[in-house]
Amino acid sequence: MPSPVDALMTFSMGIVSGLLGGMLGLGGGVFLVPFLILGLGLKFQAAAAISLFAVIATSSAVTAARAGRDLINLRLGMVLEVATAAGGLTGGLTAQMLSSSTLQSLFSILALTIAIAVLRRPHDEILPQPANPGLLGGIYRDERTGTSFTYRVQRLPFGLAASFLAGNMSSLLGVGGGIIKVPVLVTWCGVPMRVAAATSALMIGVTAVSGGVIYLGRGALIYELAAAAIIGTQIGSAAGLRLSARTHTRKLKTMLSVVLIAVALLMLIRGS
Amino acid sequence: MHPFSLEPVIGTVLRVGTRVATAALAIGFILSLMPGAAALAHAMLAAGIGVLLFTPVARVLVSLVDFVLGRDWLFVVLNTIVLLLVGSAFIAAFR
Repeated sequence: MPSPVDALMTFSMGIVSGLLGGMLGLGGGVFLVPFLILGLGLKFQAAAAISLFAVIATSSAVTAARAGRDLINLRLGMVLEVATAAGGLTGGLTAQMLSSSTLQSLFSILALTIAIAVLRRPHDEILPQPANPGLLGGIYRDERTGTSFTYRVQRLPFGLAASFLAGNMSSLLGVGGGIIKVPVLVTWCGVPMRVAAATSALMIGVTAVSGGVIYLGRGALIYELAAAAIIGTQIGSAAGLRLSARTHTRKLKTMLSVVLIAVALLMLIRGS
Repeated sequence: MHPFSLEPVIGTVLRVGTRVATAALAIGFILSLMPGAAALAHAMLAAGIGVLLFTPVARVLVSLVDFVLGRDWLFVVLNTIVLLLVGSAFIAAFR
């Protein structure tokens, strides 16, 4: 039974994680895991388990709030979900075979690479609009400007590979994996930022279930702290969603890059 | 075309699941702070965790039904693969 102080700290970090997650289209686990390890002194597995369950709740709540606003690309999500679910399962199973320091270093390198790629392309490219969106593309309507444009999904294998890796990292490190998928979908697959974030959030639920259930089965989940974290993330993500509607895409991308670099450095320090 | 609009249905499934799970976890958490309610607290927390786990799976099930009714076989296959993968994770976790 964790102390009430620990529960209160977990609740507070849940609010912050949910807030940033809702704004950036991430599950928020990237903040929760380091906090639980550094702040409460939890073992990596215990922190990852709590984080994965908070990520499931955030993904579900954020997707519920966005549904019906034509932001989620359901078809693309369901194609990529096969890769994230497979990644989540294999990641959960291989979690014990690799040392966490190796995985953390790997994650850092990957996150830094993606952060640089996103920073080098600071805004949506104005691509020639295809006549039709194809099987997986869609029509994106910008709620602020009222303009809409058609996009096709390009380089699907990149999206699938990133989704598999994201699923793997999700189970291994207790994060949602949006931090990997969203930049790849935007930079290489031609998916608009907000669509990428909404579609990633949709997939994260199932991905985190694949990983989370394995931690649960191993007895790694501390129920009381998970409850505190989940209630916190619910409050935070609701506020984050409201803020994200008022944030400009360019600011959102810069924030995403800064977050990536910060997390990469944190992981690198912890992993060494 | 599809017999019903999938996105709002998915939204409802996820909203209800998340709210029920969060409510159960909140009650369980408050009970866990009270002396003598440990068993009930654990039951509520376990129920909340269970509902939370099932919520995204329910979303895939609803999508599967929609694609079957819409005879969109590619997506029927994709959703089925996802369910099999998640099912494998449950089996790997609790075997």
